[in-house]
Amino acid sequence: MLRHMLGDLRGIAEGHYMTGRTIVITSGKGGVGKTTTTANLGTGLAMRGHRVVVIDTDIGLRNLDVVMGLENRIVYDLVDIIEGNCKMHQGMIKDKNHPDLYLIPAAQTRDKNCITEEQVKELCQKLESEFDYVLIDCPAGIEQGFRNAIAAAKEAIIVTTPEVSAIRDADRVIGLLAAADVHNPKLIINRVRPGMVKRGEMMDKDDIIDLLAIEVLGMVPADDRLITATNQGTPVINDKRAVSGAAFSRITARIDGDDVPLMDLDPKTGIMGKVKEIMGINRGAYSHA
Amino acid sequence: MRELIKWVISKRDQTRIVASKIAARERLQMVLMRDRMEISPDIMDALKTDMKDVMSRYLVVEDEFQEFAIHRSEESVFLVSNILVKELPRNTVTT
Repeated sequence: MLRHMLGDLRGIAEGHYMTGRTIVITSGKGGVGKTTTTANLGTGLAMRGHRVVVIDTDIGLRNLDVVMGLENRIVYDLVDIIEGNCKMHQGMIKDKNHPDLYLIPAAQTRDKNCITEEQVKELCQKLESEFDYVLIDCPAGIEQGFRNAIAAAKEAIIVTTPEVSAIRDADRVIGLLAAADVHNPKLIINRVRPGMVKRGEMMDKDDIIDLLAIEVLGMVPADDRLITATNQGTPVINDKRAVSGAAFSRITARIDGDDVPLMDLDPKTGIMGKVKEIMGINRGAYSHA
Repeated sequence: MRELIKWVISKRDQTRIVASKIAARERLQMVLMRDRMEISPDIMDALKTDMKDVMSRYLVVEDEFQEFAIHRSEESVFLVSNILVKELPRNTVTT
């Protein structure tokens, strides 16, 4: 009896009784910003003081490592961990800036069929006992790679852009997630261009909510700073002056349970803003998201 | 003069609204409706089996459907099924 209690205490002390949240970031369509979103949300959650691990499940086309600027530190990868070629901790790469953020990179020279849904589930269960958040970066498409990525997830974030193709694919993915028992996915609308939305040339949040009948977690404006940050291998959420970074910060807070209202992405409307708008040179001048 | 320019710009923008965002939304409404109507082969097989079971309670029918498929027109979706009735049992014939 006493021994049992001691065991329990030791378990708590070692963190074995933590149950982290496993969230898959998916989209169906490629190139909408899944990997960038994963990197930023992972960094954002770590900045809020959580222990976070991000997993790249795009086997054969790994990218989360370069977006996070950790590509030179890879020794082992996801497949090595699953196949037991290394210990779990050896396969996790510590982030440059945030000591409680880890990356498990995808294998580059294998294919999606070398791991199974069961193996991913088992790994995530282990990780959940050590981390507050396990974020899974899903490959594009809806084949085996997608099924592997969603197998362990209890929650899902769908990334889309305000374009017909991305929204159509998002709708497909919502259906497939429901069939796999992952309910109530949340939506991030990426690369919103507020000027175009204002002129009625781009679908806005409400149009997309109408079409997909899904809760919106946040919108990220198209932002040059995101591109320069990615060039340098630092997620844009580290850049205090970037509008996209600020948007990711608010999304992170919402994931973490804070009640942060959604803001409209209106272009700045000072007198100069109006003049520029009329002259069509108001590019990139947004208020925060 | 300035008013005229503003008017021209607003006109131009209005025509673009019709051409672009509304078009995207309407096209998506149609395409999502169609996509959501796709039925997986498993479900179709289950439906087929159930329908035959129900029919067999009232009629003697062939084992296989001659036709069993989803058809689409511009605005509607139909299930078209054809099965040969081999016999009308006495109790189903109205007197």
